[in-house]
Amino acid sequence: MKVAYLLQVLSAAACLCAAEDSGPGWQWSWACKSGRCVKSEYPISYASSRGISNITRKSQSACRLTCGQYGALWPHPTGPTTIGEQVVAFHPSIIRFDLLEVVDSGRGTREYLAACTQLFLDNLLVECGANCSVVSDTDVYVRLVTRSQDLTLNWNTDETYTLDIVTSSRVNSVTVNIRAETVYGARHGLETLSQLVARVPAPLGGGGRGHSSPRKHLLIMATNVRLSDAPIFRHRGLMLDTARNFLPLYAMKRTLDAMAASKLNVLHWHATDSQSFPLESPRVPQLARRRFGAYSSRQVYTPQDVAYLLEYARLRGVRIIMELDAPSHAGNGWQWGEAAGLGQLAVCVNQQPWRKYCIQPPCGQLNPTNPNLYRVLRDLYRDILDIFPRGEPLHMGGDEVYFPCWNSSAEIVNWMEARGQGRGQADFLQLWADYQSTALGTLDEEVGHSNTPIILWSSHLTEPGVIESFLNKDRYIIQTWVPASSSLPVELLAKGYRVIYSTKDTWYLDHGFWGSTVYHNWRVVYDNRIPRKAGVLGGEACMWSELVDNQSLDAKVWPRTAAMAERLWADPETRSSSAEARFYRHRQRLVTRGIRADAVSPAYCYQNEGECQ
Amino acid sequence: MIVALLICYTKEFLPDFIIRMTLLLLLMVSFIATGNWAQERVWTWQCQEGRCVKQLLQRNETPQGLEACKLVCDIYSTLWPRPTGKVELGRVLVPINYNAITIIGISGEGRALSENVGQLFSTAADNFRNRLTTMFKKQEQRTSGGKSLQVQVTIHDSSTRTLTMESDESYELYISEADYSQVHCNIVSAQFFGANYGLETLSQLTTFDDAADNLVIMRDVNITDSPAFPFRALVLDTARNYFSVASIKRTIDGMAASKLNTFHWHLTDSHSFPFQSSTYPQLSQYGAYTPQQIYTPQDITSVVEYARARGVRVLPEFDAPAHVGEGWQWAGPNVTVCVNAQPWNKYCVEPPCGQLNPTNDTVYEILGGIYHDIFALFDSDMFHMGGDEVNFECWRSSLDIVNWMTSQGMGQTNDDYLQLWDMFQKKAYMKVVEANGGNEIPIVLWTSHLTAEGAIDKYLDNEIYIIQIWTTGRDAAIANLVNKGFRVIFSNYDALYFDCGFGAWVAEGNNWCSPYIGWHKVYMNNPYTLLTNLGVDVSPGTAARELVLGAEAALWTEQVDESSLDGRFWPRAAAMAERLWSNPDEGWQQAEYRMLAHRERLVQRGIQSEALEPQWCYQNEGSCPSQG
Repeated sequence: MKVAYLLQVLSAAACLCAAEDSGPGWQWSWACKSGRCVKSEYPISYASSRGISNITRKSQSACRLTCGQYGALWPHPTGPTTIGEQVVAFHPSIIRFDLLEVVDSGRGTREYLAACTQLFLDNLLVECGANCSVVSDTDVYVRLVTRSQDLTLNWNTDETYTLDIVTSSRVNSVTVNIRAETVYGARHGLETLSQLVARVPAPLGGGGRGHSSPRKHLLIMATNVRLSDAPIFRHRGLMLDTARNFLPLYAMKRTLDAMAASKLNVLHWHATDSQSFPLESPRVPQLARRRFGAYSSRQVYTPQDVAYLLEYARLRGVRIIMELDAPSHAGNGWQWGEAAGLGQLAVCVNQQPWRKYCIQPPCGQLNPTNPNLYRVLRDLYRDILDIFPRGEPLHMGGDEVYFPCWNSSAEIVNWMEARGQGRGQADFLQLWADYQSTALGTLDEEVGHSNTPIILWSSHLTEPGVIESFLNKDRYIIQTWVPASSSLPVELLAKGYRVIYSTKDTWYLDHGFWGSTVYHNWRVVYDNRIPRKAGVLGGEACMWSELVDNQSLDAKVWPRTAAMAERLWADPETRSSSAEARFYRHRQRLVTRGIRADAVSPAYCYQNEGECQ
Repeated sequence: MIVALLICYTKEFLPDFIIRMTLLLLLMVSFIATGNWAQERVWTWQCQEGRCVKQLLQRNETPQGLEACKLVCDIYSTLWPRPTGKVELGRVLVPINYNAITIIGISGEGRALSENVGQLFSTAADNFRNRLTTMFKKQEQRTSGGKSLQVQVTIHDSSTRTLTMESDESYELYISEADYSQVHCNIVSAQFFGANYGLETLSQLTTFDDAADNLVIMRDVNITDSPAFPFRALVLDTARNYFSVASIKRTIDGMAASKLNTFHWHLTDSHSFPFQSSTYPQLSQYGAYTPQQIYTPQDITSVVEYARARGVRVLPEFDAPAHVGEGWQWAGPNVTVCVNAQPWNKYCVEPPCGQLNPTNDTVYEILGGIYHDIFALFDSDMFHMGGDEVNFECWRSSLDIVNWMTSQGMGQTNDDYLQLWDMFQKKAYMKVVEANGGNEIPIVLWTSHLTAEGAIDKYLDNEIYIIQIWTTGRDAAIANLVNKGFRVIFSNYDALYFDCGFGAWVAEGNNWCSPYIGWHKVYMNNPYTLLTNLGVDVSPGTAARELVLGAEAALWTEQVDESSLDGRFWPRAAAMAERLWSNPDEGWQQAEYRMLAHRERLVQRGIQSEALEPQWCYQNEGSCPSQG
């Protein structure tokens, strides 16, 4: 029985996979040779290919699906992985999901995974594309098994899963087992399963031929798959800056789709900066909604938007960490203090000549000497806490504080003098540290405990020589944005701080378009290794948006961020050159899913693996 | 909202309650008094010394929107490229009614336009209306308030439909208020091309003012305009990666918005052959990436006609004898040589390798068919034969070629191969003439060994050949070309190669011509200045000046496909457009605000242009760093 079935699978594969999308009757084929899909020397016409049952003739996507150790998977699994050569045709409409073994006593795990299966099916339908009209009679049965009911997504979440695909003894039936501790692991399993699927043209003679009617398509799935998978790093992030230029909600959703496809799990949202404050705060409406800080009344994120995005992200295994950058990188949005009787909340806002007061225009820093500032911050924190899950870290920014700005404010200078402080570097550093601890105290009071993890950018305050006198290592996580050559991260690790790497000379996606910066191509992004040490949470690619808005966001972020995703998920010993074929396929996948990822090579190189090295 | 705010602050700051209450009440009163409660308008823009300054809206002040301010503030308004003749701008905006716009075209004698030109004109008028439509963010904004707009366009030449190097692209534009209910606009041009540009300029003098909630147009305008250079081009490579017809048309939209007039189509390369030849359909059957990724004759005709109605010439390139490979596999042995040879760096500059075999007669037979098909579809007044990066090692690796050369008494030196190449070029040119109905036609060639000093006099005729320069702008060979009387097109890679600055796709590091070229550099790339710096006198009236046809920005697409096409071209191509249309004496600084406005215009029209700075800088003109 089993033998008979396998034969059927084999012959199905032969006739189904023999042609890529074809109109006028010609086709190329690919064959897997030592891990590479090799294009045939000549195209052949449909007519002559009919009846050929040579298993090695495949469409490109079918070939890539099972060729090499990891087929078309991105990022590649970290445990033992086998992907059999056999494939089976199926249609997304006849997949059944079994959630009975998802442990759920009413906490919502089953509901969560049911939503994930819907997203999974959407991805399959997109993959199958137009004319996905061939209905196969293969039953696909996907069994999800999870044990934990914990829906928390944080650095301790277990993201491991195993996946196997077996052809059952019953004819025309395939069983997929995805086993995970948590629903988030299971979600990753479904993502992997979606990458074990490819679109192929329908068999000939089935009404799909001819010049007038477009060729029909269906999906094939790899069979005899067995793999186990777990990420190397637990913080795999992308930072988006929505202040230099506003990003509409749909752009952020698109980005989250691509993050989910690449198994990234943190969207770090640099929501505000000195240029604009698009985040609407119900308790402090002047910041954004009253248009002091937003570019226009349309360019704001309402609390509903944020809540929506949080849920959108969670369903994709991604959490959102909010950054409210302070005390620097704050200006527009904070100008109303005096008119409201609160005094100056920020100083040197939009001051010119800007070079005297800040790193880039417009200038602006919060006024740490104004007690009303902390009342406003308290309200802002309350608004954030209302929306974000309990215990979620807050990124408090803390980069590029520019002392000449504070030094230019009579109010601040007088305040410091009255306390017998000087105006030297150390005095301003202390002022900054005092701001940080007061702001943190305010947050803690609102949260009700002092356990919220706080992330700060590396800065003067985080210099190894001084950091311990300002920042508690159990409380603060440092996001380093120094070059790969810098010893800062290692020094901070040695002092017991936890670190997130945003290696500036590889993972800064805005580089190459301003000043003397150099573009970091996907190979550089991929080849950047960070130490696997206790305390290293992971890494983040950063999309600063001075020169990016919705128009070119995708091309700047993708597919390069996917290259980082494999580095952080799998941290392979090998370099980018070994990942090329899978990476090109993943770029294609992102484009298929509606992300306008940049091209990284001529299509020729995608079709002729290994010929462009 | 104010109420909510009050509650929240009374809870928080009870001690200062009274003072704060008073201030908030004041604020509240000011909002009510200005009547802008509904729009929550806090800001207004005022034109001060040529820049729009963002200010808090005062009591009783009528707000001015940012776009409206930009339209009246700069001495060249938001016009891109800026006009070259008379520019009298009333700097007063009049509301117009979107639903009451009439556009009529008439001939020089005041009659209806001939069918030839009338058909083009009617498309141009539709395009004008469509551009206005994109200015509205919502359908409801198209209210019937405002004056009616009458546009009368006079086109003297009633027969010319095809843009050539001799075409007249100039126009005159007048806008005045006829009476209380009407605004009149007159556009006068010699040929259709000028009329089309006049309509573009007219749409650039119109905007939706979100403060007045109406479409507005500038009144009391008198503009005369014509281009500094006749050849203003982009080249798109559709062989390294394929581009859909829709994306090509979008590129042409951007060109028309910026008064660029030539779309140079690098149809094929060694990587793929998407051009569907009617004579030899095998070429694209073998050479297209997929059977869908081809350009059928219908596709090409639709692009050519689309471009024509936008004043754009489509200049086809069939690159040879190098940059061929995929698509020729069926033609038999020795038609092409070293196709897909490895290690590629021995035989070509990038994989896959491939060159035509100049000693094989089948080559010319097939070329003749291809040229024939191309000439049947395009009607450009020039043809591009490529001719770049011929690798002699590739030819040397072919026993067939070496034997043939020996039989002809030729040696194996580079000079011998140069002669072989020359033979190819002459024979191929004969086929081109044949395809062109026996008529000579100007040929564009890329700079190469064949155009180098010493070779060019021997091999190329300056009556026929136009040389497209792709070295740096400082290359002394450029002076030689002009001194030898060749017409030239500048695509100096250090300013006009828009693919630079990204990852190298065949090696470590970034691509060969990195870094990325910013718009400032593109803007400052003046062909006359480059030649002057090389010691060539190109002052007005010199013969040398006449030889400079213009410039062309290039997008080689090894690392670009449809996903990021727009961002690579735009808005940088627009920076070149102003250089070529207006050729201003001033630097990019005077163009900055207009450039930013034009970028927004392109986005509004559906072109996904790269961002040039934070939106804050757009809203606060003059407050951001100059990075040039």
